[in-house]
Amino acid sequence: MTSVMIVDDEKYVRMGIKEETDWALIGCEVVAEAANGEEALEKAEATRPDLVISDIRMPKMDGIELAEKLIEKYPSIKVIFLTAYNEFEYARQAVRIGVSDYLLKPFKDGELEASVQRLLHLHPNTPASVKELENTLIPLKDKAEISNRYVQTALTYIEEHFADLDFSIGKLADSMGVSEGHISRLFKSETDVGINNYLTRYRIRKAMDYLKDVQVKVYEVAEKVGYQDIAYFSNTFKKLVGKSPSDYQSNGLE
Amino acid sequence: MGFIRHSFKRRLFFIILSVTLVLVIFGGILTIQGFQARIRADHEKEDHEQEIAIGDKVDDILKISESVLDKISESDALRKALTPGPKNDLDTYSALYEVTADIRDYAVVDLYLGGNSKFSTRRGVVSEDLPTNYAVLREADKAEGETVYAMDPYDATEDGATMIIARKITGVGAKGYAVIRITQTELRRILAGSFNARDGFMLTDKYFRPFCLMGTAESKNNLSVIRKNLFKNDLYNKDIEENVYISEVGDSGLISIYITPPAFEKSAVHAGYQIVLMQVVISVLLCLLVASRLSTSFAKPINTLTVAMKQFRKGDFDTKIDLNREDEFGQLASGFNKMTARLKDTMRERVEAERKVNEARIELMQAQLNPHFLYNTLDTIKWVAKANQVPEVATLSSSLATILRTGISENQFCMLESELDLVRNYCDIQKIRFDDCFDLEVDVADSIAKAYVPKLILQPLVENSIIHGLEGRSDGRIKITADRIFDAKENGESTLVITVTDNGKGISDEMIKLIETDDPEALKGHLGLKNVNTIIRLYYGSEYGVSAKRTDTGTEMTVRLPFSTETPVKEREITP
Repeated sequence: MTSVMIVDDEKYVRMGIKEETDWALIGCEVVAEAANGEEALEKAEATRPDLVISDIRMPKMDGIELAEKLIEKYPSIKVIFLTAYNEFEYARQAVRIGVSDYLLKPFKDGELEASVQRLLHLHPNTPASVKELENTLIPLKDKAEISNRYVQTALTYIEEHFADLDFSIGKLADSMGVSEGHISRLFKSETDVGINNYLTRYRIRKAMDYLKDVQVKVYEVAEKVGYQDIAYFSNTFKKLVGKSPSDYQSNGLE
Repeated sequence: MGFIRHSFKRRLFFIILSVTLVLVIFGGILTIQGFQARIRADHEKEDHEQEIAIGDKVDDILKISESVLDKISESDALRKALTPGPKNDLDTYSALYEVTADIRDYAVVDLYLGGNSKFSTRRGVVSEDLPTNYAVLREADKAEGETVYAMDPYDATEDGATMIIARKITGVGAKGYAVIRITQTELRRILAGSFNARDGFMLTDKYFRPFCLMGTAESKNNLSVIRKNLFKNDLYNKDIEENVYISEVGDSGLISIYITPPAFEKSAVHAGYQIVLMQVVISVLLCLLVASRLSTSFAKPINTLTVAMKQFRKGDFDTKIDLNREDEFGQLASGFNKMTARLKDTMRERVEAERKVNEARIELMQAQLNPHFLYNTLDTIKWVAKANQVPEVATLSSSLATILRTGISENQFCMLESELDLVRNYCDIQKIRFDDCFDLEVDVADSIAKAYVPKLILQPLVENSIIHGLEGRSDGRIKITADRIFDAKENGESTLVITVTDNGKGISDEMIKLIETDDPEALKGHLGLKNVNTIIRLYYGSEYGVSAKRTDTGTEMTVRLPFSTETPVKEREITP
C-alpha cells in the first residue's frame, strides 16, 4: 500500500480529497493530513508517507518550500501540487524542484487517481515490458499464490463473470454458498483488496487487453467488460490507467 | 583645411576658385608666352630679311669696287701710267674714267704711286697723300694684289670714317696702288633706303670700328657695348635690349651689324601680366559670388530640411516643406512631406490602437475577479457538495471552472481537443440545468483534434443548438464532427471543417440569412454566433466563417477555417 499525506489549508478540501478519492482502488491509503507546510513536515517525520498531495498557497510555509524540504529529506518522496493557478511560472518552479506532477483546482473526478497512477507506476527508473507495467499499474492476484480455497473460488468466479452487467457480491456469495459478509472479509484479508475494487481492476485490465485492438470501439469494450455507462467506464479506466480509453487505444501506456 | 572643410560654402568656393585660377593663370601665361614667341619669330624673320637686303647692298658696292679694281689692274693704259717712264696723261685719264664709270657716282678712285696720288677722279683738287709705312697702303703692299679694306686714317672718328678699298697693282715697276674712297655720307646715302626707320645699321671693320652708323645705331652706345662684351668674352648682345644681328660681308672682313628694336616693349609684356592679374582678381570675385549663390541654392533647401527634421523630431507631425522647386531638392521635399504624412497616419493609428488596447485592458482589469479566489471557491464548493452527496453541484463547479479557465486565459488559440473538452464541460452543465434532455456526441479523429482554432468558437454553436434548436425536447442529440479538406491546388493548405448538427426544430430562414449577410450588427441578438463569425473572419479573412442550413432532421452549422497545427501568427488585433 502506498501511504499518502494530504496538505491543504482548507478543511473541506482535505476532507474531500480524503473521502472522495478512490484510494483503495489504486492501492493507496491516507496516513496523514496537514493544514500547512510546517505541520506537514512534522507529520511526514512521524508517518513517512510515500506520496504528498499539497496545495501551493498556504499560511506559515507554502507548498513550494515544503516540497523542497521534503525532497531534500526524503529523496524518494513523490509530490503532487494542487493549485488554482495555471500560470507557467508555477509549473516551471514545480519542475525545477523535482515535483512530480501538478493538478489544477478544481479537478474532475478521477483526475487525482489518474495522476497518482501515472506518477507511481508509469515511467519507472528501470525499463520494463508492457506486461510488467500493466502489472504494477493494476496488480491482479495469481490463484496459485492464494492459499484459501474460498478466495480461489471467488477469483475464479470473477474471472468467469466479470462481464456480467448485473455482477454482485450477493450472487458470488450465493454461488459459493457462503454469506456475503464472510466472503468479503475473507477476500479482503487475503488479497488486501475489496471484491468490488478487485472486480474493477480485473475489468479494466481486460479492457486494456481489448483496447489493444485498434479497430474495437470504446463502447463495445465497456459492454464487454460489464459496464453499461460509457462515461462511468471511461472515468474508472482513467483512474486506474491514468488516461482515457481512447487515448490508451491510440497511444498505449506511453 | 578644417576651416574649408567645415563650411560647404567655403568648400565650394575653394574648389571653383582652384579650377578657375588654374585656367586663368596658366592660360594667361601660356597665351602671353605663345603670343610673344610667335611675334618674335615673325619679327626675327622680318629682321633677317632686312639684314640680308642691306647686306646685299653692301656686298654690291664691294663687288662693284672689286670689279673696278680688277679692270684697273688689267688696263694697260693705267698700268703704263704707274710704270716709270713717259706717259700720256690724257690716255690715262680717259682709261681711268672708263673703268670707273660704274662707281664714280659715289666713290672717288685714285691711282697712287707710293704715297702720292697721281691720278684721281676727283674734280678739282687731287686727293691727299697717304702714308705708305702704315695703314691702308702698307696693308695693300703686304697683300700683294689682293684687295684690302680700310679706313681713311685722316677722317676716321668714332662716328664713322671714309671707306678705303685699295689694291696694289703688281707687275709695274714702282709701287702703284689703286684706291677707291667712299665717304661716310655716300655710304649713308646708298644704304638709306634699305632699312626701316626704327632699326639701326652699322658697318664696321673687323675691329668693330665704324664706317658708318645709321638709324638707331647713331647713338654708338650699342657698338661700344658689343665691343666690351666681345672683349670680355661675354655673349655679344648682353645688356642690349634691342635685337642685334651681326654678319660678315663676304670675305672682305667687314662686319655688318643690324639692330632692331625688341618685338615687345617691356611695358607691353608687363601690361599682359597685369591683365592676367586683373583676370585673377575678377575670377576670385566671380568665384566668391558663384560659390555663395550655389551654396545658398544648396544650403537653403538643406537648412529648410534640417529645420523641418528638427521640428518633426520634436513631435510636430504636421511638418511640411515648401521649396517650390522641381529639381532633386524638390523631389526630396515632396518625399519628406509624404513621409511625414505617412508617419503621422501611422502614429495616429498606433495611438488609436494603443488607446483601444488600454481601454480593453482597463475594462478587463475592472471585470476581473482574482481568478485564484474564484477557482479555490469553486474547488471548495465541489468538495462541500461531494461531502453532502450532491454530485451535480460538484460537476457544475468543476465544469464551470474549466470553462472559465479557457475563457479567461490570454491565449486566443487552443487545440481543437481542448475546445471540444470545453464543449463537453459546457454540455455537462447544461445537461444538469435542463434535466439531461440531450446527448452530446463528438466524433473527431485525434490527428484533427490537434489543429489550432480560435478559442470559444464551438461553444456558441452548441449553445445555439441547445437554446433554440432543442427547446422543449427530451431526446435531443448534438453531434460534432470535424474533417480536414485538402485544397484542390495541392499547395499543402487545407481547410478544417467542423460541423455541429442537431435534431432540433431546424434553423429559421431568417437566421440563415442573417448569418450569411456578413453583417455583425444584424446578429446583435445572437452574441455568440456573431462573435464566432467576427473572430474567424478577422483572423482568416471573409472566405471563412460560419454557415448554417436546415436539414430534414434539424440544423447543420458548419465552421470553416484554415487547418493549422501551429498557433497562427496574430496579424490583426481583434477589435470589439
